[in-house]
Amino acid sequence: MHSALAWVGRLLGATAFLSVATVAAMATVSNATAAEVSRDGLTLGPADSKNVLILHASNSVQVFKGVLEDFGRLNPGVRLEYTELSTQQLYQDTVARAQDDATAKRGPDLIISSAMDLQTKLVNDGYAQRHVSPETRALPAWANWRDEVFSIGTDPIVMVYNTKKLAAARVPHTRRALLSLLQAPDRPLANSISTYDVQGSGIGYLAATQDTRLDSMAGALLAAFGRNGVTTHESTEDALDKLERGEITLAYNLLESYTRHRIDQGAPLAIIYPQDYTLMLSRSAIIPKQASRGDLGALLLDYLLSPRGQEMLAKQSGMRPVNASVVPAAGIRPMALGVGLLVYLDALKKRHFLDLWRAAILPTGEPPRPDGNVPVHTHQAVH
Amino acid sequence: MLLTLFAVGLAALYLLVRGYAQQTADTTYDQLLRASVLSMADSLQLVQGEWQMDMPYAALALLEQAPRDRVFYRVATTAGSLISGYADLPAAPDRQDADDTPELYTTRYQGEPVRVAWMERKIAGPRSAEAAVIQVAQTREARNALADSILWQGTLALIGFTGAALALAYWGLQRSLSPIQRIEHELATRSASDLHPIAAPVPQELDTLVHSLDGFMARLSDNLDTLRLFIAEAAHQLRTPLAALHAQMEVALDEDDPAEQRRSLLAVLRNAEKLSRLVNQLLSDASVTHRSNVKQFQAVDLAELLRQAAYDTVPQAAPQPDVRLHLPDAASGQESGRQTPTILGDSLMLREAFKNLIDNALRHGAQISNPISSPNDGHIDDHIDITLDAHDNGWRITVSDPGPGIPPALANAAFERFTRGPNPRTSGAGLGLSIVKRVVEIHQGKLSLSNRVGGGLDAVITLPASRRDA
Repeated sequence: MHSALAWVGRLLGATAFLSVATVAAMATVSNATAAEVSRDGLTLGPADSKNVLILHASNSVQVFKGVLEDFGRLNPGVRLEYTELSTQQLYQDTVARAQDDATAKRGPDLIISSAMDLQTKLVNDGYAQRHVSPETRALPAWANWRDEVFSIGTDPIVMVYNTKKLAAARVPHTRRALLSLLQAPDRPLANSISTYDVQGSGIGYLAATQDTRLDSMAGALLAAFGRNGVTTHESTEDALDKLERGEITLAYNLLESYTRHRIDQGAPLAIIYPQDYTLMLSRSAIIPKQASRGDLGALLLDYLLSPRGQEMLAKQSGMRPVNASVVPAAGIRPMALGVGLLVYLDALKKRHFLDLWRAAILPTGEPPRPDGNVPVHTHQAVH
Repeated sequence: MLLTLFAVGLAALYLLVRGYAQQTADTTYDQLLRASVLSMADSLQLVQGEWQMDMPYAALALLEQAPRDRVFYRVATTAGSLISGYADLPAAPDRQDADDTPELYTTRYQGEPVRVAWMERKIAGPRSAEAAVIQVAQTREARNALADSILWQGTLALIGFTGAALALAYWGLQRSLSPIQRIEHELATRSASDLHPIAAPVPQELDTLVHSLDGFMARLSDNLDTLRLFIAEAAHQLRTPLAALHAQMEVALDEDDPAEQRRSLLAVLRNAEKLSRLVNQLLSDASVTHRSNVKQFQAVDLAELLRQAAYDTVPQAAPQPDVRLHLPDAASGQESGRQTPTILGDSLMLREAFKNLIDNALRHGAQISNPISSPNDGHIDDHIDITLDAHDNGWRITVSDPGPGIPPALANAAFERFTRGPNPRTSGAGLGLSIVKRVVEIHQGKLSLSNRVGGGLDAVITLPASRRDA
């Protein structure tokens, strides 16, 4: 029962040690290049450089800034233009560019997105180019599909509860325990539990569909959510706010990285790594076929996959390094990049799933969303 | 030629293996595609006139068995309107006997060759049965990788087997040829006169060859022995008249009386003639031996040959023996059944044979020239008859002399070399009949000697007519 916690502790300890070492090393390097930061963008490096690397990503600028600055220190000649876009935007732009003129070399040289399924679909439909390097070869099989899409870091999907509102003895460490708690006679979680709104969030949809794939009790759990007056959150931050304020006691399916950041800041929260299985979401990267400087995209990718880049990512974003993600304990389940992810992108499948989800979650009598149907491929950046 | 055949065989085997590899790879991954299509078809429903599909996770996930391959699918009504998936996936070829089993075909999509499984699913709708077509396509990377690996292993095995077969063949050849090399070595190191049987051990298969070689060498050895005997005998035959010549010439030199001197010189002359005849016979023997080896036969006229032989042999000076030639006359009635007496043969050999036969008759039977006997003694038979007549699809030459004939004890040996008749007065080398016999045998004829009742010898040669005449 405590093995999962012990493992997380070890991992964090190791990461912290490495981080300290890195910071010490970096302190000696003068930061020559000034960074210009805007709300949804970032530009680094010499303005007159011929080597312009265009990066489109769904990560927030604040989280990624440090990592990119470190890359800039290693490659001072490269000018880096970073634009933050939603996962849906990243996908649609890439498809649109190819439909416009498939031979033109334009658009980003690297796309980083938290929507693994959309990135996988871009690869399946031929929008990405191949890249093989010692760094990509070192990746585990689930983190690399066709040498075209790569996991650059993972983020466990966890349960989070408010330590003031739930006694440690009643904390559920598995989904079955959660179901029991929801069905307990005193209804400790009634009107104080939250789960991802799968209609608006790509990550929420991905996590919920994986639940139905992996857990035969997923339907019963959803029904129990519905009976307990579940509220939905659009993002992890949204849920953490509600948890911190005490509006809810427990949130199901949150991203670990944001939660840990909030706990570090002193919030009275605790993380549960479900022991039946803990899903690991990946941030994934592709080099688009139409990239004008695919070589620079590959340079940044290899940096992100290198030990130094992985360490920077872990420190700045709270994500886990890819190669440290799989440990033979605690039911850690990295979601593998591959065609299996395409199943839930099928329009009919998605409609079917959302119909069932709504029927289970939403209080009886409440009408469905005003437009009556659900947008297909709706993914939003979650920050 | 053989090499070409070998190469063609190898190429055919390679193609066979390649076809098999491709087929195996396709079979393996086609099963996955079929399962995928079936599971999709199972999840397809028509609810209140609207198509619904709750695609099972496995429908695509099981295609991850080909870990790098891209997957495309299309679900559409038979009319062509898209229900879900990739609208531009190439449509399936028309199928006549549409049933509920997936079919497969190969096409290109997004510039890559893809293998497609498809099937039709019919669902009873509210108004009529509606049908949808489900297609699942997969790129060929894993198939090609599997096929390549099978092909590579197969080719490796092929190369291995070929190499082993060649090595085995080489070894086998070496092994089976080594006894021949041993024989070759033994023969090469032998002295020319060594004609003993081959001693080198040989396998059973070569026994007959070695036996033939041994037999051949044995015959060669016999021939050489005969030749040596002949040379020794010839030398001996030449030495006797030479010694006599020597002695008589010394006598002649010592003689003061011209008459005695002349008598000695006459004896010298006789011995010189004898020597000359002997040398002629040796030459004749040699030429017959040579010609018999060459064996170049042409059409020859026996009558003409006999005439020449008689002319060459019978002395023209007195005392001229009475030699009567009986040749088939083209004008005479009883011989008109035949044309000229022609056979295929060697004219030189035959002439030598006839000459020897006539010469024999002259020397053994020409008693008419004997000054001791009375001129009237046996006047009926005191001539030599040479007769040529047709006989049993061939020709018979009979030389009859009035001589004493041949004693039965000598009848068999008469044909051997250096065997002379009992008449000590005659001066042959004993080669005549042996030459005749050989010539006749070379021409597939027969020679016989028979004593005539009342005295005299008939030498009869029968020669088969040339096939042209028969």
